[in-house]
Amino acid sequence: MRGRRSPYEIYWEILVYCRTPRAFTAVINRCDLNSRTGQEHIAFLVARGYLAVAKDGGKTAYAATDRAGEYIALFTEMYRKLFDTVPGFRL
Amino acid sequence: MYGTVNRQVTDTTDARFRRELDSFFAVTLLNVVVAVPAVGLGMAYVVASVLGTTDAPSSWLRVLAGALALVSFGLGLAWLRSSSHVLRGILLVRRPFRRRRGPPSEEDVTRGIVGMVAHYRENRMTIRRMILVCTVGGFFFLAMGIVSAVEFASFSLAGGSVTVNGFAVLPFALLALGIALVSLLSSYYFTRFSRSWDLRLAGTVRAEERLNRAMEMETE
Repeated sequence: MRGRRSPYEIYWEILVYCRTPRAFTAVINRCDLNSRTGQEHIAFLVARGYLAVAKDGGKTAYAATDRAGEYIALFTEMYRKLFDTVPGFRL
Repeated sequence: MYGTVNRQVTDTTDARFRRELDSFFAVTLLNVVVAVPAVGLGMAYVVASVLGTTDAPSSWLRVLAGALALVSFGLGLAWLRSSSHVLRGILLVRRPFRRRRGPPSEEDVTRGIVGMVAHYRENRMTIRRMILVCTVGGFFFLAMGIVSAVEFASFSLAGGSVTVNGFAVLPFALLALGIALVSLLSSYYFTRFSRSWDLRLAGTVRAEERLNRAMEMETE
């Protein structure tokens, strides 16, 4: 059970995981995506230049680019800020 | 003064997130633990009322106790189901932090935050229902507890002394009052939790707009 993630949260998970080159099946397994949505998200990130496609023989791997680093940094900053700006809950 | 400074130093995003996760876990776990005797108590009351073995001094009091028990039994089941569902999600978010010995990395904390955001987004309505069930259930158990306490008092006053049957009612009254207290407290804490997370969900919408703008600017 992964909850209901937004596309931006899924992009972040894919990009963080692809810091080292990963095969398509590894990405969809790790990020808990079905084949169709995994294909859509990866195609989107490749088209935007956040993922690079590396072909080694018959195998295709996806690796995060430098641009992905900027996305990851901005995402991390904004999500961590959610805990800095909103009054917390505690017993 | 030192305490304030010290708290500012140690109160990192990581610490705040984990503390909040632990607090929410504790409230939800308490809910599951209390929901079990609540269902049992409701069932025991229903059976006792149907069989007419409550020995209530007046029939209307027995009917009232039975009706309240039937409602609280249903509420208890709904309460147990919702709490278990939410608890399962929190356990999954919490697991990597529990297994880790050292402090978590920035990436782990962000992953935890994403997990919690996704969990809250999916279960927002369930948590709202839990607040409602806890509030309504709390007042029902309070009523049950009061009715049982009245029964106990009736036994005591009628006979001039407390009978064995009178004493038998007392644990039910105390249990019902205890469940009512936990239920109403849970409702209060869930409301506070929900308020914080509604603000955070609104924050994620703003974050997504900014991320979208950044992505568009980079591709231009």
